[in-house]
Amino acid sequence: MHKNKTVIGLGIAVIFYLLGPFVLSDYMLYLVNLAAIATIGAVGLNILTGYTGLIAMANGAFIGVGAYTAAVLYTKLGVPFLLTIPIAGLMTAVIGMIFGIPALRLRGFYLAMSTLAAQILLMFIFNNWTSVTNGERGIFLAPPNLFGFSLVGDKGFFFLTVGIATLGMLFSYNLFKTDTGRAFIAIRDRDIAANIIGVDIFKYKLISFAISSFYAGVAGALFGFYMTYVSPEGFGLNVSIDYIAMIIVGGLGNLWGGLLGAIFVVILPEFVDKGIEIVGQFIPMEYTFAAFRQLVFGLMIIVFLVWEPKGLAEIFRRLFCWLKAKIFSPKSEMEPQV
Amino acid sequence: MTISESLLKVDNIHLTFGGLKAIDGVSLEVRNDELVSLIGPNGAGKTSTINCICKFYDIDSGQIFFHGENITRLKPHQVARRRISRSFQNLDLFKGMTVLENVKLGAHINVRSGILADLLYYGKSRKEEKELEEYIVEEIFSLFGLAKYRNKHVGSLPYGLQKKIDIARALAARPMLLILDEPVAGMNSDETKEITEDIQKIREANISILLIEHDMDLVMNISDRIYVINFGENIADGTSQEVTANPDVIEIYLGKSFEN
Repeated sequence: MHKNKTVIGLGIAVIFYLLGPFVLSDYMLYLVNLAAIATIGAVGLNILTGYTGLIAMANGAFIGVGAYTAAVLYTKLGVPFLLTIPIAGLMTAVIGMIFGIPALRLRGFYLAMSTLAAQILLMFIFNNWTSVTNGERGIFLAPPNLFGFSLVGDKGFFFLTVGIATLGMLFSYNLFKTDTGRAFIAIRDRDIAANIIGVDIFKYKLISFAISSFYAGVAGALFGFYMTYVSPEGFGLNVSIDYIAMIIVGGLGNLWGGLLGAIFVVILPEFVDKGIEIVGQFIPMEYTFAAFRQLVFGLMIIVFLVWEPKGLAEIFRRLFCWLKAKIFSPKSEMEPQV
Repeated sequence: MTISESLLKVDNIHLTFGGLKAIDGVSLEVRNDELVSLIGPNGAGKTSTINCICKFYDIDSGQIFFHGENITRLKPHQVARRRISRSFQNLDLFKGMTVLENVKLGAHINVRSGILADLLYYGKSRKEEKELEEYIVEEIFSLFGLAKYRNKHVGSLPYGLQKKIDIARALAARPMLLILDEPVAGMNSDETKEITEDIQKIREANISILLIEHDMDLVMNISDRIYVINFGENIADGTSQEVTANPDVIEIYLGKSFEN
């Protein structure tokens, strides 16, 4: 029974994956692509913040490192497109580890401050290392070729972004089935006990930074190619905050949290946009869209922290249990918390 | 007594917090296959002593040897790799993990597969994970009767059970020396009996034990030798008969009821 369900679920996923680009509108595909890229970044940040308990305010800049690495390799050095993505990941992993070193001694608020410094420092480099990054003008990327096909637009990217996001989630799932993942959670829950059990705290914190930053780097590379343009604007502090919002809203330390949070945060502005349009017909709206968006974001984070700290993933879990109880066996109890 | 018989040797260690002398020259020794107890009044420095052995505290002076190796300057995770495990007085379980995951992490020092293998869950990682699970379920869960709780989150379980999980986790590392910090504190007599039996089973597996405990019946029944400390200093040591006959120990700790 359980196996059958898995097969059915997989089947639906594969059909969606293969048919998606041909069924969905370009606008929908655009949202899916953005959400898939955000999912990669959010799943990565969740490994660091949700599972290892290390708050990082530099995910935006780390994504930038990936984007710039891929863009420079592709445009200036002619490295093949597909190769630039893992290299961008590795490069960002190294940068992430360097900025993760203060995590040896710092925790919570202080670590957040030190990673905020990393964010600002990296932004400074994006803006001012003009010989490499072109400064504020940014780098334009020609649409890449993939196996001889020009990878243009939303349809082509769908396979890549959704495919890599799926792999990213699978790797994260594996990680927390095994020793490395358990060590991360142990550091989050009781770092002293973990240390005495034999977990080299410093090593594992750095590994967590490396893996998380690798995800950010891959997300950044994809983002750059998808947007065909890389500039400092795309990687500011607001992006870092967006990612923190994703994992809080989605669910800290939950595999599905990264996915749900990414979808939520990508779609939310669209709803806000539509909402402003509708309300604007009756009341003149003097707020700019951007400011309103930040307002709704801040509000969402507060709402989730107060009422559902386990995020959308928990809401969905309860919803599934409720549906299962209603549909399959009306008398069965709700499943204990997983 | 030759050196080779000695497993753990704590030699005249000192520890101060600010101006406070927490440990002022404690020495003790655990030999192979021995169960040694460390007793003394509250605040005598018992837990501090084992925190020094585990390198949670850095000692000011003195030396600690394990298997003839000087481990005085090692880091906590390096001490663990020498196969010294401990349970904790105030439950230090990982609340975000299930019983099985907690105990699995206890075996961290024995896991060989790397991070890449873990990300892919392929080859060595998968094989090792399965073997580890088998070992824990067959050897450790069966010993402690934890099998039915394996997928429960530890936070939801009663105190007595959490104590057992704590010991199970320490045991999963396949230690040569197991340090138990008040394993029956706060337990009722049935639970105490169970834990006592568990400790005896652990001894049968040829694991040396250093025990801190206030339950004197337990200590006197199962210890090979006993060290008594007070104000961070050794007061007495010997077999349970020797220690209970020592007037200083009776005065300081045991009370008159033991004098009969």
